[in-house]
Formats: sequence, C-alpha cells, structure tokens
Amino acid sequence: MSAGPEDRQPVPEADRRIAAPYSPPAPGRSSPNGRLAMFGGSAGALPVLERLLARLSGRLDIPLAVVMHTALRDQSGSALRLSGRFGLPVMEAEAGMRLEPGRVYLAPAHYHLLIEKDSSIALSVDARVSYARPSIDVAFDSAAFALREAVIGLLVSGSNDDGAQGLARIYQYGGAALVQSPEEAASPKMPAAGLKACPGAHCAGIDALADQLIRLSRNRNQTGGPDA
Amino acid sequence: MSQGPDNRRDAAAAAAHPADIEEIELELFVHAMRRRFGYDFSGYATASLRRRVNALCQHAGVGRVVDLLPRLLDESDFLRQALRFLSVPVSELFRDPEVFARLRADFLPELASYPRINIWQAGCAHGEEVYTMAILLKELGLYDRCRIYATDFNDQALDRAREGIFPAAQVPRYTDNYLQSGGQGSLADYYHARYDFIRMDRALLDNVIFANHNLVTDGVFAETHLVMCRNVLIYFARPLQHQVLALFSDSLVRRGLMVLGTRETIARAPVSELFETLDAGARIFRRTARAEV
Repeated sequence: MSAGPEDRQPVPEADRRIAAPYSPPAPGRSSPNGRLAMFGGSAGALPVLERLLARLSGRLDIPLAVVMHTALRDQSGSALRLSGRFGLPVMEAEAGMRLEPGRVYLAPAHYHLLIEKDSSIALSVDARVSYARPSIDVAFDSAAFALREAVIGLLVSGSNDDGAQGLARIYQYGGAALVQSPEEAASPKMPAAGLKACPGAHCAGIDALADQLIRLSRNRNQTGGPDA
Repeated sequence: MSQGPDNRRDAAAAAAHPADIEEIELELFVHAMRRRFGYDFSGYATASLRRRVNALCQHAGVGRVVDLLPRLLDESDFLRQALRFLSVPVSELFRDPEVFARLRADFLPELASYPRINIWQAGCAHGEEVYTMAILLKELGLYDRCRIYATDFNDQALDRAREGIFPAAQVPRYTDNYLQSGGQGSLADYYHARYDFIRMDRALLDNVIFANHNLVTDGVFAETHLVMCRNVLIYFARPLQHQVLALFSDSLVRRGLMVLGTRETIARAPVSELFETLDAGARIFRRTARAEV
C-alpha cells in the first residue's frame, strides 16, 4: 500500500482494498491535532527513544505509546530505568489502562498493543504479524482507526519494514506521520520503508522530530479542533 | 472528534471519514453474526475485533468487511472459518512458566484438602493450557481427584484440543517453559513425537471434560475450585469483562483460585472486592469468604 498524495484523491469503489481502503475526506491536510503520540522502532531504536525522551522531558503533554520489537520479557524494569533517567512517568502497558497526558507506555513483550476509541490500551496475543509481536503496524493502524487526526506516528531505526503500513494509515486517516531520517538511523530499513509507504511523512533527525511532536501536540489548544 | 454522529444532516454533503465507514461495516458484521448464528461479539473490544475481522477479509480474499456478509449469510461452511478468526488464539505449553511455578509450589498443594477438585479452563482454544494443568496435577499427585472442565465457544477448537497435536517445532520452547516452571521429569514423558508433530499422552485427558460453553451467553455449570482464564478477557470490552468475572466469582467456592493473563487486571471490576491478590505478577487471585457484592 502506498499513501502518497495521489491516494488522497477519491478512489473508485472497485479499487478499494483492505490495505488502503479509502481516501480521506479532506484532502487538504488541515492541522493534525495531536492527542496521542505513537513511537515505533526495532534494531537501534532504544537510544533513539532515550534521546527523544530527554528532549520531551518537561514538555510532553500528551501520552506516548512505545512499540519496540527489542522489548525484554519484563518491560517494567526498562520502564523504571527510563522514568528515573528522564523525569517522565514511563510504565509498562496493561490491558484497559487509560492513556494519560505526559505519560509514556511501553508495549509489553509478546503482546500486540492496540488503542481503543476511549483512549485506553488494549493488548492481544493474536498471531505475530510479519514475525513481530508487538507489531508496530498493528499498533499504528489501531490508533489511526480509534483516534484519527489526533494521532502522531513516529517511526525510527529498525531492520525490517514493520510500521510502514501503519504509518501510512495514520497519515491517511488525518494524523501526522514523522520518520527519523534513514541517514541518522542506526538501521535505516524501517524509516526508509516508512517513507516509501508514506511519502507525505515529515522526515528529519530525532531532535527536530521531538520539537515537531511538541508543536503538533499543542495545535489542539490553538485551533479548537481539527476541522474547525 | 469532529465526525461525530451529530453531523447527520450534512452527511450527504460531506464525505464520511474512512474510519466511520469501517466502523459501520464492522457493526454490520457483528449484527449478522448475532442475527444469523446467535454468536454475539458486540461486547468484544473493538480494536482487536476489527483486526481479526480484517484478517478474515484477507483470508477470504475480499476487499472489505461488507463483502464478507454475502458469504456469511449464504455459505453454510463460512461460519467455521469466521469463528476460527474470532476465537481465542493458540497458546503454548507452560506459557509464562513463572505462573505455573507459583501454582506448583504454593497454591495447587493447598487444593489437596478437597476430596474432589473441579478446575475450569475457560476459553481453552487448542488445549495447550489443559495439557499443562494435567501435567502439573499429575506431578503433584492430585490428578486423580481432579476434574478439568475445558470449555470454548468454538467446536473446531475443542476438536483440536481433544486431539492434542502440536507442532514439533514448538518443542524446544515448550521444554524450556516446562523446566522453568519447575517440571520434575521430562516433558517428553508426556507426548509422542511423530514426524513434524507431537501428540500429547491420552492419559492426560482421563479426567478432562471438553464442553462447548460461551462466556458471553452461558452461565455457571459447576462449582469450581480453580478457574484458569488467561488472555481471554483482554478481548472483551469492560462491561463484558465484568460480567465474565462475576460468572467466575459465582462459580468458585469460597477460597477458590482464579488465574488470569499476566497483563490482565480485575482492579476496576465490581467483583474485585471479592478477591484477594495472591501473586500480583502471576495474576493469581483467591475468592474470599465474603458474600456477594
């Protein structure tokens, strides 16, 4: 699937596919109105997350959900370590947890993480998707469906193409798509796949993306609504 | 959200958000399942249900969810395929070994004071956990006085569970799990290897009763001393979770045990007051002696 600008034109009925079912309603990308940030990465993503958290510390006022393949069996240890280091509340996600502003949620190992419409976290032990559980595609796609233009997707270093389809879905459903520049990424394959699937994504180094994320998360306070 | 249901008047003029269309299609699917076959998925949590129905679309080779409806309504065999995608997923033998280590060391032995022990494995899928419990109980010398009720709403899953056939490729993982759970023998004592598969020892099923039971619609069927229901409630929306937890609570004897998935919680459920937490990490709870909520 690709979700480039050309996909924003109306799609004939017969061409609708599950992978890219519809064109979005308003082709003009008004202003994504970030109320939830989703972070996806794999090989080489942990240092990127740490750098992101360092930059967001004290400024993050929306929830951030983190999906990494490299997760350890027990994420609560990582959560504790990251919390202490960056002064942000970081916790391992549990089923039914409500997403709270300024908090960081780590997808537990061996579970898919999904987002529900009431901004709560759902977990699943359904089959791996492209050998991954948690799958970034599953997480991003569910967030796009649940919260639409309120989602900011951020895809970083990784050595496979998980997350690319999900990022395109976030963008297609009106959210913001951010990609770490492949040149900066330790493993460029994942961000490169993200850019290919979602050419409209904003591509930059992680520091600039952190600032962009903050700007997007503050849009909502100024515009009064995505299409207002 | 801007595309709320109150914008109905403008609906003809404005294009619907694709997520709205997806939602409508999903509702139609759920409605058809209930009206045509009596399977009610309306209490399921949306995110995973949507994912599963989309997977069914891919499997069926249809482009969108509404395209499933003619097949569902007209093709007698399609329901089986649909249920396969909507059911409790497969598990592993001794998955989360620390949970079984704790049960083995501390909690199952205390059930020995009962002359007969009823265990309910709710949502047994392909039976991995049924065989796990049977092995555990054998090694504790409790099996002969146990009866394990293994239930699922999907008959195909029950058939698979009865067969007890698992891929041989999983054996190293199962064996690791078994050893980490404190297994006292060799896991190989409990299965026969055949080509690419293993078949679990039939004797493990001597005291197992497989039965079709739907947690959404069916009630209590036995007084139980232990309910195992791991990673089933995570697919339910909160009201259904609470309903099912109340069902477990009703089924359990006072001081009976309940084990949930390691990322599941009872904290917000009304019946949580009726349970004490025995092991927070392993999600092992005990029904207290108190009366109903």
